Amino acid sequence: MSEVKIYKDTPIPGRWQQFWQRYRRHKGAMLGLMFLLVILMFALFSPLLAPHDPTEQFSQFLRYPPAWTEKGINEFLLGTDDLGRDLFSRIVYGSRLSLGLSAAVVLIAALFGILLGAIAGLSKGIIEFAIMRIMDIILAVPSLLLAIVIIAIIGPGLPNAIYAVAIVLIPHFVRIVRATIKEEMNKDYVIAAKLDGANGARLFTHSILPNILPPLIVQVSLAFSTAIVDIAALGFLGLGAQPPNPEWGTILSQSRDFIQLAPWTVTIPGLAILITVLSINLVGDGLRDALDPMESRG
Amino acid sequence: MIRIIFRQLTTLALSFLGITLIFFALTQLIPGDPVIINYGNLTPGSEEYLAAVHAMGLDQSLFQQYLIYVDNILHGDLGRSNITNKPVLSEFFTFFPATFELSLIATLIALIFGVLAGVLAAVKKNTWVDNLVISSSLVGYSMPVFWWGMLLILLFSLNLGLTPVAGRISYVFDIEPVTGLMLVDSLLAYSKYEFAAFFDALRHLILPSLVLATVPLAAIARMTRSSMIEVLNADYILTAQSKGVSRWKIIWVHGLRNAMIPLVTVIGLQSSVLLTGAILTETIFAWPGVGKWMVEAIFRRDFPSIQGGVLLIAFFVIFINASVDLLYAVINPRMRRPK
Amino acid sequence: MKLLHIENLSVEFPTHKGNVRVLDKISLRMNQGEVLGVVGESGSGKSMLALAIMGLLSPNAKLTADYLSLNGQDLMKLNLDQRRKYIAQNASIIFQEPQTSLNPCFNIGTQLIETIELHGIRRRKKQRQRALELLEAVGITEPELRLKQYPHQLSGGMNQRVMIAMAIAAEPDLLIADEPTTALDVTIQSQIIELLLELNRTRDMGLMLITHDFALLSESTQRVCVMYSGQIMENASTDNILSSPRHPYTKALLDSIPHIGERHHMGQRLYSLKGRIPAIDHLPVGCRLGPRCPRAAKECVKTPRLDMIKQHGLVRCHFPIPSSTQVEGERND
Repeated sequence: MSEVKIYKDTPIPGRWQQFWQRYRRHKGAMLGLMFLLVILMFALFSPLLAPHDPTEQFSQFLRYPPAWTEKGINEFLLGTDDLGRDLFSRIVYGSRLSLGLSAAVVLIAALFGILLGAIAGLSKGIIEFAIMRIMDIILAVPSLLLAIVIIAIIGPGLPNAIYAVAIVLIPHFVRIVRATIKEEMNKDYVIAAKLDGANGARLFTHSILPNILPPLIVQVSLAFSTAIVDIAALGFLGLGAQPPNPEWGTILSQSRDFIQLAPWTVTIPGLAILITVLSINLVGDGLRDALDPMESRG
Repeated sequence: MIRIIFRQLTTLALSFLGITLIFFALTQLIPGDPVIINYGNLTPGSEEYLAAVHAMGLDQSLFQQYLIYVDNILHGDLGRSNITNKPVLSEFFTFFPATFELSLIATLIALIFGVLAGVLAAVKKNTWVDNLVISSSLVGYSMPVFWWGMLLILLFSLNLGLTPVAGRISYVFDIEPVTGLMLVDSLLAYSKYEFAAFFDALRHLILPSLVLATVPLAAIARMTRSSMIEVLNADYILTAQSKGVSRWKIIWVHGLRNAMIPLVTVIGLQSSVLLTGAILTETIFAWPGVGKWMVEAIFRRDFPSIQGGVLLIAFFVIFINASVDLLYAVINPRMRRPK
Repeated sequence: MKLLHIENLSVEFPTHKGNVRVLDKISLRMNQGEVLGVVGESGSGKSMLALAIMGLLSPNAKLTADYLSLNGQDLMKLNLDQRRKYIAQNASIIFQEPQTSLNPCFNIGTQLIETIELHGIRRRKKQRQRALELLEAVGITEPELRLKQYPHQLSGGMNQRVMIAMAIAAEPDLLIADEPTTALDVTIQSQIIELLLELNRTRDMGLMLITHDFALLSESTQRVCVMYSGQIMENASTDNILSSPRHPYTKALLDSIPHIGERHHMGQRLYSLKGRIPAIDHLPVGCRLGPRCPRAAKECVKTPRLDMIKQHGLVRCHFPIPSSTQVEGERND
């Protein structure tokens, strides 16, 4: 007997499959992801991809323009700076610093932020009040200014810049984690689980963690782009990475005086920052839409 | 309404206490002798040194020191800069108007064009207009301000020669600071220069305020768009359409009025973003404002100025946020009187 | 002249999987002053039908119809702006959620007077007077105070009355009430329905009552139109449908109504259809009720047509239920 197929059946994809399907639909997000992977490759394989050492000075090739211009030579794809260093190599090595440092920043900020947020979310009264007030105050000081103050106290330099930017980013994590915990704890299914005798640990892993993950992932992407811009800004102000470090912001601050003589030493490192931040923001937008199907129609 | 104002004032007072507490804790972390940091090079053990120790309450308990610290702040005594030896408060207020003017103009630009672009994108959803707004706002949102400033200087000032490179006004004009706002002061000097000084000040202001406006503009455009799209899907928009209300009125009155409510909070948060941008913008355009002053103070290790300056900026941001919360209550009828 | 005349109205939405047809060839007629009930589960397309008639579909929706006329005017011949304007003058709609149907940012007076102004009353004093009249007409106490209040300060029932006041401000010939009582308390529900019926009688205003609640329709409507998955399944007079439903779906809906004291005894299970209404982009082949229908047979994989059954009305089914009244009649003979 032949079966009549009454419904046009399509298998229902799993959670991650659905997520990937929604993410893939976002053209911008896919583009961002591609760029980000390329930048990540630059960062991971800098010694292989960079033709020169980032600090090597070619004194006979000062301020050579990029290779595609009339005066440029193929040896230096993006030209050289005022000390004759290969800009392309510096940018490639700089990607290592930018991604690596901001990854460290986000890791520190997320770790402390989640911890404090969980404490605030699961406690009541004075502890919660104190934590949230302190976070509000940190948020009230403009992020870069706070980083500057922290550096003023602990001194300029790369490690200190990392701590400073991380501290600035902590409140956002605390707020999200606390808000999600508070929200979930009041929902009926959590109360039902409690009545069934679930203990704190089980509640955390089974009801809070799965719900906290989507906003946390989005927050990580936001923090990532803020970290890159802020580290570069500190480098630009001379408070972060110090020359001859090929950090993108530091390169920019050094090129500033040669903006007319060698404009490419200004435009190219900045473009590198912009593209990196843009890619991360594109990926972040895509993640947000894919993780929150209710809002993806907007 | 009075209750809401009262609540805001309480929050304000609490935040003030919190900030002073945190800053007091931070000052304990500054390496070195606090007397030398605040009063310059005094010989330890000398009479002046001991007087300073007493003035700061260093011979008393930590709690007493904190009370002295708060008391000084309440009296407007934020110490003296150890470079210029002027009171920090008066230093702050010589630089603050420049920052205020720059931020105000930037806010206006961001607000007007951000809301316009956002509404346009929401109304023309999924068309090329929408795509243009989405993509350019994403680029603007990701823009490193310091590089953007340099790029615009390169293009408009150095290559095209349209705008000045730095400063608030050309040196040929001798403007007496009355309000501290150059646009106003240059108009007050009308008898001397007619409109020449005003236009010169305007030309100086264009590029920095554009640079500073970029990130908030993009953020506002994005928020307006999503808020507006949500509002335009609401039932009351259908009701208005069924009543025969004109499309223009539905968008700008029924729609925007509701979309503005969540937006106000975002705009409040942008004030902090704006001041961060101001630090960088002022550095690039040699704009004599608070941001540039702060960065220079750090290089000179002028701790009293840093402490006092950041404290005042934090107060300013908290004050703005409290005002925004108040504005939120005003424009949202649901906040006014519960059922 | 018919108040409302619809022939083969369809609405499609583009999705990333291609066009989805949410209304499939709907045909309907309403006389002046008639009360028509439209009934169906959520997802049956009944609200979409209301929006389509009112010209309120979102811009990406594609509406096609052989004929669509309101008060004698062929709406398909008007452009969007003209159509909206004409409809606003001739028909009004109220929605399910009175709290969200009123703009939360403006007080009742502003919203009511906006409507009054759109219908030609220019002088402030007259507008106010008319607003008070309307509020009184829908049974709102302390109208002076209400004008100054915001929607969130009023109860759901009160807001629905305000919506009705706004709807009748235009003196429409047709009022579409889309689940007007679903969001309200049970005691308020009957008050609102009574108000709507009273307005229908006193103002000779046609009323299209859209609901998922058959019990509501039984006392108030002359005709009932049963919808399922974007199609009309049965369209007949209320008496015929109540005494002898011919479509299995209509019967299932009727059987699912609990009756106090009769029909259902203690411990007896309430009848309900198996399964759920299919997703509109995931429809079964042939009759859309097919997989859920207790009378389904092999032939039901072919699409049934909406056919006329004598002395009853229109039914879309290969195997309509035999008329119970006729059987009784034969027995009596």
